[in-house]
Amino acid sequence: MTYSDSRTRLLRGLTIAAVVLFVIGLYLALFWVGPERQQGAAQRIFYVHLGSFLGSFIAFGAAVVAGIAYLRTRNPRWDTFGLANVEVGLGMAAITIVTGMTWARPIWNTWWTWDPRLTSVAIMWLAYAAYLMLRSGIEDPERRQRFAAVYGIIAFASVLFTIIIIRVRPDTIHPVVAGPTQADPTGSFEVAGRIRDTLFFNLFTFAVITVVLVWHRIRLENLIQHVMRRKLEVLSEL
Amino acid sequence: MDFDFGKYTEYMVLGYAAMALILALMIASMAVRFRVLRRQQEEIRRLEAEIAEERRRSS
Repeated sequence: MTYSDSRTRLLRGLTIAAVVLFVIGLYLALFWVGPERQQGAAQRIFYVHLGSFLGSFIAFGAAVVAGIAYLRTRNPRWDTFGLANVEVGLGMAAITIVTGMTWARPIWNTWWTWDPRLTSVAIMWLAYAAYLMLRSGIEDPERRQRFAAVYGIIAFASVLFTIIIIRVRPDTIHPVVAGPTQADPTGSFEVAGRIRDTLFFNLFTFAVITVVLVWHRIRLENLIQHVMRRKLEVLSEL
Repeated sequence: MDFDFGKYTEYMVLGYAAMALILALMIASMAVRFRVLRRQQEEIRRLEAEIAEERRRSS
């Protein structure tokens, strides 16, 4: 299993960049930006909460692209790309859920409530966890790849549902940072100054982290396939 | 140094710790799988060498 030097160098550079960005992002979120007046330190969770959601959105969106591309070309590389994105997206979504819970405890006085947004994000996470279960339940590789591609496309409906729900349901208590809502149909972006700068920096950071993790996961999957093929070759020689 | 993060600092710490833990688990799970696969690659190479040696001797 060999890769071109330029690609490996690029991945290494991106990995280092992701670590540096992560450290700077932490510094900005914890020390550079001041505490929010009403929510205090709990508001600082918002930077990683939104960043990780963007990461999961990118990863799950890429899984849709992978699914469509696989169904058109039947190239297993797209299946690997889709799998890597779903796995990383699930991790990012887990960060979103857990950080949301730690924010909700002091602000809403509960770790969890069956609010439309929270319910939809839980469904989204379960839908993508089911993707991995579906894959492990099908032995025939071609069938597994085809089913996974279709499922990856359909599961994205849960992501769209999660984004849209707080804009159409008036009974949600989840805050809306940007865009129109039932209460404010024209939409607004009520974040400014250092909070906005820190937020954008962390959004970019989590996007880079997601790309780096997906790239490493693709290489891991390629290695898994390579080792499996080599094992079969050796067994056939015995 | 005395930093004033504002009220609810303990929840902020909990949130960031949870984020760090999940990220660390994702990275560690990949690192462990890479290591196991590299070990398996070594094993395959050793087996192939043994098979080749055996064939050479029998011929």
